[in-house]
Amino acid sequence: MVRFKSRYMLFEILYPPTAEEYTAFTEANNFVLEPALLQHHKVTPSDVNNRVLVYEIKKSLQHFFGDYGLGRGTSMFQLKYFSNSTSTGILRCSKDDYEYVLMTLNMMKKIGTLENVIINVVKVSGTIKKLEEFAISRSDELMRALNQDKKDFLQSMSSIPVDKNEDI
Amino acid sequence: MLCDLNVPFPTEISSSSINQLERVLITLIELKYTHVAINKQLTPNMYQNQSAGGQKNKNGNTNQSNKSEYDLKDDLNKFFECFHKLVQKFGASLKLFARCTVEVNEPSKIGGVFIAMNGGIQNANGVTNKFDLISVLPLSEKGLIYLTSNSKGDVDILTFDYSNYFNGFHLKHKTMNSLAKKGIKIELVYSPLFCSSQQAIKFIANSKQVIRTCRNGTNSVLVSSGATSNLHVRNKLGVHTMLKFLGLKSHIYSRMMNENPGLALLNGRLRLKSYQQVVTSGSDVVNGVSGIENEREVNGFAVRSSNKRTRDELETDKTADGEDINHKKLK
Repeated sequence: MVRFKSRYMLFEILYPPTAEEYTAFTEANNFVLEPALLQHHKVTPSDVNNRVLVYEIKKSLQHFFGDYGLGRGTSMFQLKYFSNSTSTGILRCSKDDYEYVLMTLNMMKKIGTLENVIINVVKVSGTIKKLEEFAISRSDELMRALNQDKKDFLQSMSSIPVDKNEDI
Repeated sequence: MLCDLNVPFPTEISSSSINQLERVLITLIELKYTHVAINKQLTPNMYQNQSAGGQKNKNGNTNQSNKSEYDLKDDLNKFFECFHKLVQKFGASLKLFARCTVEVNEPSKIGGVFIAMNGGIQNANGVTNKFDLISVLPLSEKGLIYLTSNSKGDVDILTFDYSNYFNGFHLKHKTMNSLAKKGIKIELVYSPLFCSSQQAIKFIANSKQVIRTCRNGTNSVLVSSGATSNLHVRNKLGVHTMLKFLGLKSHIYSRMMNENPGLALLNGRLRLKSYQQVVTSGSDVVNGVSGIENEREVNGFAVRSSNKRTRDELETDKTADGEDINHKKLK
């Protein structure tokens, strides 16, 4: 029997600091890298929920790839999980057409009322289980980096796992 | 090792422009980049009729022409001053390199700009700062032909302005292959894709042309951001996706991100720290680790011998122990 194969994507919403935010950090802390780095990770406002996110992704698919891209990208398309507190989510797409969704996430710069954000796809996997394990280990490493001394912070940040798989 | 060899340095130095550059660097750290080059771009108006290295004319006086309008040496010294400050700030998490891009429009007016850039820029304290990477941005076909015919190992990277159509020149297989054989890498700059839809269209048209003429760019193309804003940089997976949409296969685009930028950095490092790119010192040339093993001097050059032991050394080991090592194992 032939299975329906899908791809799962772990993504996070990054908030690159604006000029005012960055200046405030550097002035207040006499230039320390940690708060500026942590600025990228923020709580997403509650008005960005699952429904808004799916709507925005489909709208961007239509904009970048037209009707054909929207049709292909949205077969088996499903937002499995999204957390506002960690700004992290998991998407499910068809194995054959997931590149359209991946490229759309890359190109998106706004979600609803949120502007100037980067949607950073961290990992693509064939099973949701492996993706969840990766997400847990990644958030563990981030928490460990936060709790450690400032001297070791940058080293700890660099040890946060990234997707080693070259093929997408 | 994840490289981004093109982060533009602002044309006018001010607190806001440096702030913007620092924000790009912060986002690159967040996206796990490790090696970043800060790019100082020189337009033809900047270097024509100037003496960047402070060369002296026949009368023995320093060339003062056009100094009231623009002083290239002063500008480059300011660049290196800012660059060293950035190295102090971000050195813990990023390895920063200085890069110079020379826009070439009319080859006859280049003068000694490449010799000056390779020789280094001396500041007021007498310290000579050198660029780790030197690249060329041709503005016309003449500029490109100059690079194929005249460059003698003084250029590492060939780049293009991807946000505008290549006006007046058409790329050819022969030209690009001759550059690839010389070891010059061709750069794809992806930030126009994320700027505006008009720039994205031009980027896709131009990059397809470059990839076609470089025969899919297996050995010769590298990818960098060229981002002036922190919203225009993407992580490794994002760049891979973009290159896949340009029609490249996985083994090619992974090479464009990992190995080819490393080779360009190696080329730049060898230009500075070797004799005719053959003899150099140090165990890790790209990362610049200073640990030198088995170094000895031959005719005034530092030569590092390989870890393979010579037959004489092995024989002395045998005689010292009194027994053969293999014989010991048999026992």
